[in-house]
Amino acid sequence: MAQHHDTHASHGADAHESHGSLKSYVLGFVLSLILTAIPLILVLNDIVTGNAADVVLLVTAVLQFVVQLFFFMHLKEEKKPRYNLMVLLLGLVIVLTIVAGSIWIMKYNMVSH
Amino acid sequence: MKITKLSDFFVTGDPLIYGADVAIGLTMVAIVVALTAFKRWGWLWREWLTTVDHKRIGIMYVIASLLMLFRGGVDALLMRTQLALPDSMEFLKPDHYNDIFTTHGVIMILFMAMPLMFGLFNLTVPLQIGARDVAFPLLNSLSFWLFFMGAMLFNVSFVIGGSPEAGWLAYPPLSEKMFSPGVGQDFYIWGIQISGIGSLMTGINFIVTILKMRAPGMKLMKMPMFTWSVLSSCLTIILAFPILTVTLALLFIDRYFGAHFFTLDMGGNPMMYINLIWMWGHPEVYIVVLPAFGIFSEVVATFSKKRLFGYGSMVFALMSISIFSFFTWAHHFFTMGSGASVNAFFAVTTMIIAIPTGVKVFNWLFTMYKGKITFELPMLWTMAFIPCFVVGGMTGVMLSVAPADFQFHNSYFLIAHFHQVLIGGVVFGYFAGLYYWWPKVFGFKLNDKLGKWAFWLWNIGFYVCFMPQYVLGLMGMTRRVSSYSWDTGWWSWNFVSTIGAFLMGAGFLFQVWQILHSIKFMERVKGDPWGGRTLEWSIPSPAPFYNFAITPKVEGRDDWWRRKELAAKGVQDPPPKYEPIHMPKNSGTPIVMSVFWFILGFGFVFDWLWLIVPGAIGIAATMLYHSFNYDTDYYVTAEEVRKTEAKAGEGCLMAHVAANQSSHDHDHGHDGHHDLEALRTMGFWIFIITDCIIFGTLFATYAVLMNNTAGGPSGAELFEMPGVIAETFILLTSSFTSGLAVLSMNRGDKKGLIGWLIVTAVLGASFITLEVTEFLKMIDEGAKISTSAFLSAFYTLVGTHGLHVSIGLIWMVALMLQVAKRGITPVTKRKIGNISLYWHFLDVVWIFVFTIVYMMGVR
Repeated sequence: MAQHHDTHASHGADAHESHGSLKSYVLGFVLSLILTAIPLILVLNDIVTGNAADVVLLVTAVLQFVVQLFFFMHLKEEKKPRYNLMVLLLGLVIVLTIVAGSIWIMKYNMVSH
Repeated sequence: MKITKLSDFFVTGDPLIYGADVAIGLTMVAIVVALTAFKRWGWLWREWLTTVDHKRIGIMYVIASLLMLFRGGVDALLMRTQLALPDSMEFLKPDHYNDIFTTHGVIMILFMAMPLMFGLFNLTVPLQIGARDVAFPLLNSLSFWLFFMGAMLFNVSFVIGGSPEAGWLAYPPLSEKMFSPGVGQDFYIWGIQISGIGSLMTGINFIVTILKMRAPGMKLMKMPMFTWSVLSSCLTIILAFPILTVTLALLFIDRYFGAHFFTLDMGGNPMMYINLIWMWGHPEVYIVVLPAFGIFSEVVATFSKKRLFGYGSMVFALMSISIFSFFTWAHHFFTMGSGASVNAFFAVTTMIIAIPTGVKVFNWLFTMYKGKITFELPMLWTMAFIPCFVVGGMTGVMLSVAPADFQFHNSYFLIAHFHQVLIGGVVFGYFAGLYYWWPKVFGFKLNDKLGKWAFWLWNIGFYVCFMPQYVLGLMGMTRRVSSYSWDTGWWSWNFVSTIGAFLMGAGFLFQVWQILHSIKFMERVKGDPWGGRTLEWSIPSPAPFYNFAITPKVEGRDDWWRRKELAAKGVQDPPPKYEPIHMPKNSGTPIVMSVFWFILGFGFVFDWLWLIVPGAIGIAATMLYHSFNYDTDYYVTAEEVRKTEAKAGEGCLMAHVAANQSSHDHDHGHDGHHDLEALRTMGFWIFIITDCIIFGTLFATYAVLMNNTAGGPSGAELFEMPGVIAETFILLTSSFTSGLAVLSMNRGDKKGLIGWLIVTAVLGASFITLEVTEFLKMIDEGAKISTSAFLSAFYTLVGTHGLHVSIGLIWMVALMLQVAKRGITPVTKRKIGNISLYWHFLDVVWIFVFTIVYMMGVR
């Protein structure tokens, strides 16, 4: 037990989320660029307006989030048990509750202005 | 704040306060004299102030919480004395009364219940799961000292500067600068903020500990129920406390920078504060009650000599309560005008959450059924809890009926309800836990007879105090009134209630007597005084500093009970073969950093730059010192383990540290049992999730306030898209280059790693430069944080992101230096992996800032 376990530890660290290849990073980068360009072009040139613009903006944002989650943060590669994924999902549910709940309570009630 | 006379700094004019000043001064002098006379400064520093041992940290939490129970209890007795008789009493003037109910609430929940809970976590969880310490021992110590400094800041306010007096949750507009110009409210904010950081860290620490450090064979569904309750409570902590952090920060930004989040003018919305604070506040009460439920499960099984009934449904109940507690918060403000749909939704969710608790109560009763029940103190407190909490819960369901709540809200009915569930549930539970685990911690039992006196005084006192308050509530008495007139007809119930309060006070005094008596007369015990079922009872009392000489191999639930049954049948444990044990070293970093946090907080309270700046620099310096310090662990030799085991159980709190904490890098990322770097990576991921909650709360605030421009400029008029587009592409590219840095690292290419990190840092610095330029231009055009609620929200959301990036840059430079010096090792790999994750996270947040703030702002 007192010996160095460098090889064991480095193998252990290796098997964690920092795998990924150049391909995945480049793909993630390019997709993110595209998903940023789309809303910029469509919205700043008034090609879509109003609620449709909001939808385009949110959809591209969420897609870019998912792209970066998989291509930059290697979420799929976690070994079982997938605690990190579980905590992330839980956190996202709570974030959605905070944002949607606040908007509902504060903006769609009898005392909102 | 400019101090021109003594009364600007010290609280003057009240004899009670002067008395307190004298008592505080004398106590401080007495402590210094005693430490010097008995030559114990070194001992104090080595054994307590720099300890990273969870058992010692647990003891400190418990001591602090009992002292706070005393102060909070005195506050309660002062209030009850004032209310015993109608307005002929002017024992407490209204202002003073407001100070006291504010302090009472803050202390009891945040500085008594929380630390007592963390104390029980620390004393017990590692022992229950067969671990030698928590996942992050140094962080554990930091959590305690941050709590301690936060509590000190809050407590000092009643003699220096003045108490806060806007209630325990400090609702605006009363808590805003306009109506609370004094420093008391700022003491409140900083005391709770600093302490709250400690709480969040404990949440992360115990989640990783429980998920990753259980003894081999202890699968999740074989864990003790208390450990499950700690896990569920900590999951709630990490998701709820960031909301509190943001909400208090926004209030402070209002007070300090003149912003308009919750003001009455310029687009501010006080109701948003109430919305946010209860999003934390409701989960908070479940945070404190879930571990109490865990304690009851342990106690009921042990003192019925029967295994817990319905283990699976108990786990399911704990986890459901932990999550559903996030869906009920609006029931705290049914009367604020949200409308029928909102109220109906939250009424229903509140009723639903009562169901899993009901399941637990039935399971405890079924555990007792046909058990061999004995009534030691832990079991007495558990028995008392059941009827008390059930009634308290029922009044909660009454309150959850939204239309009925219009009658109950803010009356004494509400006060009686929450005291019943908090005292009957949380306090009784933690008392049961203290009595149950006291012998494990100290090696002696607490005196039974005195304990029974305390028990009956507390219980009778509780009902005498609070049952009349339900009646008072129904008669129309509102909370937070310092006096009432004779013609209300309330005085007889108030008088009875006050008698009950003093009975509880007497109960507390008996507990103090019990502790002192037991220390003097020492009824010593061995490892398993109660006939326990779980692993903590398998080691000596008190436990040796490394906990387990041999890591146990677990085969089932209640594994210690199983091993005892095997031993009774003659099955022997094999003779122990001792091996060196890897342990964390003591450290002065936590207490030093916490002192700097105190200085920072005190500085912000009085707005003294000469304290704020050194405080902030000190915090940054200690963080950087810790980052560069790789000498954090050591090994205990097998021989020392053998000697310690032989002497086990012979004394109170035996020699804590190993004879020889040798000094060089022993942290290779692995301790023979656990991949430490994997633990640290998981801990950091959980921290990122808490950061998601921070930004989520800021986005919610922005969403609610973004149209409140109060006649001033809107986003469409202010935002200049070329700069924003440049910022966006720069940050995205830097996220990509941080990935390239990681790829170099994985290939073992040190130069490539440092090179790509430099590129990332340069891009990050460009981002910050562009953003600062953008902000300065807007301020120049008259669009300041204090101009409107929209701008307050804009600057805070985008500025918080910018602050994260800036801190990331400093961290990146620190890591570049470490990699340059040490190369690519398991530890530096983990650190680079973490900063890369952090950087990607910041880019993801920016996606949403770009979309929601800028794109939706200009379209």
